[in-house]
Amino acid sequence: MKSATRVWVLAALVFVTMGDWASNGRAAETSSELLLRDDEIARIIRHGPWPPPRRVDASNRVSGNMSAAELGELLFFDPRLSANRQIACSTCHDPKLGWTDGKARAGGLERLDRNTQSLFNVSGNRWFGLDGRNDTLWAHSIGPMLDSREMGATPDLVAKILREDQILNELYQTAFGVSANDRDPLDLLVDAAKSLAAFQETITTGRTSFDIFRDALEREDYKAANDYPESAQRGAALFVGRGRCNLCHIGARFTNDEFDDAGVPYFTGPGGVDPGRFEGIRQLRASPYNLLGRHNDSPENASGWATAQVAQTHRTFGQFKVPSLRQLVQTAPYMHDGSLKTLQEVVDHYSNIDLDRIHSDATPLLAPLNLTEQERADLVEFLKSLSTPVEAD
Amino acid sequence: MKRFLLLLVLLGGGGYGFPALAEAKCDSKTGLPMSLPPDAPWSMQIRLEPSQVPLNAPFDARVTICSRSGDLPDRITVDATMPAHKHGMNYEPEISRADRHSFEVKNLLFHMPGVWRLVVTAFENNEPHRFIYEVTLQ
Repeated sequence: MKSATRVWVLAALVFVTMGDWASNGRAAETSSELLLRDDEIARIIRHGPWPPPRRVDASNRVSGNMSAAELGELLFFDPRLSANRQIACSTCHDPKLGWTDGKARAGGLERLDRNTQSLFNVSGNRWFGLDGRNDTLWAHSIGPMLDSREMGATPDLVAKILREDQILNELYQTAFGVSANDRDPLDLLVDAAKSLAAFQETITTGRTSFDIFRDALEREDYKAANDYPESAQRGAALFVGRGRCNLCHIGARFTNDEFDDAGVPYFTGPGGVDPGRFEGIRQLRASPYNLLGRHNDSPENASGWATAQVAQTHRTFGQFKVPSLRQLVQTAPYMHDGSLKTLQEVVDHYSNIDLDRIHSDATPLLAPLNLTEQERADLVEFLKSLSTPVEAD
Repeated sequence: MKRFLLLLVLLGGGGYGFPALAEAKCDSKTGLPMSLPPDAPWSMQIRLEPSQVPLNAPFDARVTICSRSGDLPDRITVDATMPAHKHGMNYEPEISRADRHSFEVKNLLFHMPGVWRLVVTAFENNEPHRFIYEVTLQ
């Protein structure tokens, strides 16, 4: 080999062995190579790990019980649980539509004023419903069955179905250890709701590209972390930085399970107002199914302290639940009234937020972010990365 | 005998009985000092349980009156706000008297990261005195 050629070959070998280039064309041996500062990394790490440990609801004696979950699944899809025998829980909580219905406002026997919430990861919430009117998943499963605008059922109707349907009757016996024929209708209604809750507890989402990124940051594997798209990295920095989204959308589930006013009007129509959390607290306290009542299966382990001590201040008027941000790609439209159709619209809303709409006599938590077009795109990419891929039909 | 009785009176500290009975023993176990208003008749300490306040989860506190120049407060109220946002907690804590010098405060909850200002208002004959302790949550 001529000497000049040898030099080129040697140079090529040196070049190839020098670098270990990541997919973005840069090696990220240290955190300084990422698009994030160390304080931003620290804040991002707090949004995990995922999935969280499985929690059993002590107030529901069949929480985690597979027979009860099986019974609950059958009931969930059963339209006989409605006055017209045409509406099931799945009518509004369709698994093919992210366990919601894809509509701005829910509709059962009548149209309602609020968006249907998804059931993804619903177990482990502190409050249930956009106004937090219930303190357990099973209590929240009762309302739609009995509400004349939703399913319009009665305890007697639910009891009849559990007693007369052989499969349901046997599953009930297996799950609860007693015959449905020996229970009164109200107790059967509550047990049906507890079975529905046991089923809904199984509706969970898996790990996302964000979780892979977050875990890589935690173990300081910055090379792996740099596989996360740059746009999503910039979006994450906005989320935990200037956007201050992480003040309410905290932790692995991206929600503090509390309530706030996001500047979305709470008018339901001409002369109509949705009081949100303010009314939700009133309903919570009046409910015979709350944790302070006799249907709590374990008051010593599910104390209901939050129900006893929740403060109904004027500030709660017009506040709605801070939603989880997981699996948003499947759960459009968004906000309590379904008024925002896409994630882009949600980001635009917060970028241009109208402070006059915020019902608060305090310093508003929210302020217009005035994001550039690129920043909006980055935030949308970040939000999308909190969802697992959706399989095409 | 008279000298002995005089000595007892002097040790008694101004007619309130023996100092060991009049004041709580405050040390690192009773917690950290709260900032007090200039005219406060007492100083106060607070111990948070757990000491590392969790974000968005209930925690408790023990408030101890450490020294006084007058009667002990007959009651206290406890509240907290975020000075940056001017909003308070979403729950009213449960308060009970633990002993003559201290109160138990149960189920405080800070639902956002940031600086929280915990305010204990102690009442002496219906006159309020506010004591402050700040907590920063990540």
